[in-house]
Amino acid sequence: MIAALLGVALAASLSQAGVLAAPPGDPEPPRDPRDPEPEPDPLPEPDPLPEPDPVPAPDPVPDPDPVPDPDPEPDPGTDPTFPDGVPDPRRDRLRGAPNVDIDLTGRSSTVALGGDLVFLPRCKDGKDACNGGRLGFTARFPVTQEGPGGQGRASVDALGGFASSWRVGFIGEYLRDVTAMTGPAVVYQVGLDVDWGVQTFRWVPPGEARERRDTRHSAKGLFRFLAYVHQPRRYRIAPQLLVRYDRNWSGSNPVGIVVPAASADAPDTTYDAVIDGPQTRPVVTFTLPVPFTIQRGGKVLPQLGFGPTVRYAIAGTPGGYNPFGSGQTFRGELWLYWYPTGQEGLDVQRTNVRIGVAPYVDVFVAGRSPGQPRTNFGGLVEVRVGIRGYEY
Amino acid sequence: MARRMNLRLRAISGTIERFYAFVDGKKRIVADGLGDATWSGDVDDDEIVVRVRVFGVGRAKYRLSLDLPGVADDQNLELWTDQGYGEMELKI
Repeated sequence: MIAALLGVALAASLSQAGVLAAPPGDPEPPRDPRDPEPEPDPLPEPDPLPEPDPVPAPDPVPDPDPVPDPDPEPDPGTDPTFPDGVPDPRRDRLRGAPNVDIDLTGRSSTVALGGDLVFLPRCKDGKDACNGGRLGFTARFPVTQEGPGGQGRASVDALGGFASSWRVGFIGEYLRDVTAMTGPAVVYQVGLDVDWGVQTFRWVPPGEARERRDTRHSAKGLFRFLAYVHQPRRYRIAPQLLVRYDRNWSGSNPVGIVVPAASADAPDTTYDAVIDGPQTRPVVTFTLPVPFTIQRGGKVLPQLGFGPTVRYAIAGTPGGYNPFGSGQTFRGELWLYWYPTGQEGLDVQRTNVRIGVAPYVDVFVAGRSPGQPRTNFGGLVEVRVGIRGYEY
Repeated sequence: MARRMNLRLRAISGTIERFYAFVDGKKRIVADGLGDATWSGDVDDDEIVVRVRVFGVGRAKYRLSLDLPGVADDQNLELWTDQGYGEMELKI
């Protein structure tokens, strides 16, 4: 309401004035008298700025500027530079966004390279439907990997978000925005994310002295559909569907091998060794989150978000490609989000921060191990910065 | 004769999800709240109507920058959304 009133007030005041006033202390720059194009002042007032600027500033730079700046480009796409130095995109429709990320933890490090080619939404004149998209490339390389078979640090690497193998991927995204000048914001988005990786595993089977090694290829595919509807000052809802196929090879865990003592008074010792080869099990996961917010009420409710989510995971047989036919797990999550406004101290300089907590329950529908409980309860916590608040 | 206009929208605090700007009824800015959303292009000499719509979550702050050389030089407005929505219309 305040913004609306402010908007109305500004619109009214600006309509009366005809122009937006220049900021104080920012004198009108001296205009080149040789400029062949006289400034078309829409106001009937002959001279709104009578101050003659007592210091005439003789303008020592000659700057002949033979081109009278006709600027006939029909495409309204170029953009000059704003005074605060933030670079603006050139040629508007296409934008590149390369990125390099180097993560270090302990003895492991991962270098992630990537880049996005962003197609900004293109709207046909007179129509509200706009189409845009993004093409991206990603590559992640573990620089150092310690431990037998790469397994000694697998859990630490997983916690640090490290890839256990080389990964290269491709991301494609299509976006359609049909938001009009009035009414709700409506956006549809379809995306595909695939990646592929390779890793060499080593192990020593029992009874053999020679180390075996094998190179395996892992792959992942993710499809995402999202619909975003935001009714002003009422609600925002963004149902989405994610389907993910994952066939990731991982090494077996090392086991302790007992080394008998050399003498009777010396203790036996052990060493870790991987005795089994790598394993994989194809998994497909269906995720259906429906995050929404209620934009009504006082100070608390509009800052909250809710994210009921159901997930269904199906696993195939080890070593195969078909993800169907083995274990099946159903999961229900109930996310509660908090979107700080910036006054809580969490995002002093950050925008688009989301803090979420969720209880969840897993129900093992099929493929339960003997003695495994049918249900499993737990909780999830997330703190995310710089995200789209409606994405799962 | 046309004039060159520059528009920019940027989130300052809170959560902004969508930025829109319409210039004389034409949709010129379509962007999410991550990073700057800009447009620059030629507009007519007649009166221009700029309509900005911002969708977010609850209270969020954003900056509208407008530059129309010779008429409205380097104007900046910092505004808040109310109940996840902000709207403004300027006639220049």
